[in-house]
Amino acid sequence: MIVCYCCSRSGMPAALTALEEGGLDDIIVREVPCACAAEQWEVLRSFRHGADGVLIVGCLLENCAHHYGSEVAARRSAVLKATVKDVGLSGGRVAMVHLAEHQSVRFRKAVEDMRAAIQEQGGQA
Amino acid sequence: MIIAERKPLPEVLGMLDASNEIMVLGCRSCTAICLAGGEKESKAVCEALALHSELKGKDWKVETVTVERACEKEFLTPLADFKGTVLSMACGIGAQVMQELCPETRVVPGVNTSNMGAPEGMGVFVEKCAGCGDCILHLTAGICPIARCAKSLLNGPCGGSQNGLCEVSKETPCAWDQIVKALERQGRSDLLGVNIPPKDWRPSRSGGPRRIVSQEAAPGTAQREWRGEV
Repeated sequence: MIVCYCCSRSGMPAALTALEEGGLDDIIVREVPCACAAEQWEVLRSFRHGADGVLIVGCLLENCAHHYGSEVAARRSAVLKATVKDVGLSGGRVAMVHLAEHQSVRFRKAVEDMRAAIQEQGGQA
Repeated sequence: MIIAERKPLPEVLGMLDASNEIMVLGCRSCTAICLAGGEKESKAVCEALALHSELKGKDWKVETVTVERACEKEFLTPLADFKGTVLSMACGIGAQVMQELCPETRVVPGVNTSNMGAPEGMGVFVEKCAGCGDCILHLTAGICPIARCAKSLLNGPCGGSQNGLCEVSKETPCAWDQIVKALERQGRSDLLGVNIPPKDWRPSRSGGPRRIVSQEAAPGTAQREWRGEV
């Protein structure tokens, strides 16, 4: 299961389009007002609740409605990657993708990449 | 405020190895402002520890509590009955006050306490005060040479001051360059002529742990007698 924290302005419309196209039964989409609103503790709790990976989906860096929210989210995802490794999970469990609302293909690609990375480490996606 | 930064998680995990019940104790004051040990950070550490415990089968019971100010016993008293290990996300003061309140409990630090400073920008915190116990800010245009000069010089810059920067780092402004410019701006260049004598370090750390007693607030003899302390 991959939990996707999607920005309501970009990630959420892209995720909904990708879901309509099918083939993404293993994801849970959570809408957040901005990608940077996905807090560290929430992401870590997702793993405790059974997530195999967490994808943070935010706006393109130059196009964030909150100016630097997407940038903060990217830095936070880098911290989270290290934290998740420190607690004992294998790599590739946390990723951040920047996209615009029409880029459902990019969203699907990010999910597929994460799925492949998790399966490579011996986990289930 | 007190500036601190989070300890690396592997170090924290190493300190907690022999624990069963863990309380992550956050503080809503200084360490919350410097994004090291506030409610959010404590919750993140709590979740990380719980996840680590589940993955490694350690059977830790982890909870998190955040108090208003971990350096005051009043706020910590409700937690005094806790018998496990406390991971303090407050500064070193908060950790020690908690330890004093619960002498039999193991209190371990979750942050490295660094200095007394202020936020300079988003996520950037800079030391401003060294707590030397003998303030001379009135002579130095409100810029502390003890804390902000790498050599704590008292009467002007050293030869390492180049283009307004300290030779120690290109990111560090020369405190004395700032002081001179600030005094000129304030029309108080005459203060540059005041010879500041060699520093008496006794009111600082050289005199051992410092103790300040407020004459007004500290209980007098009669009050102590009434409280049975004499």
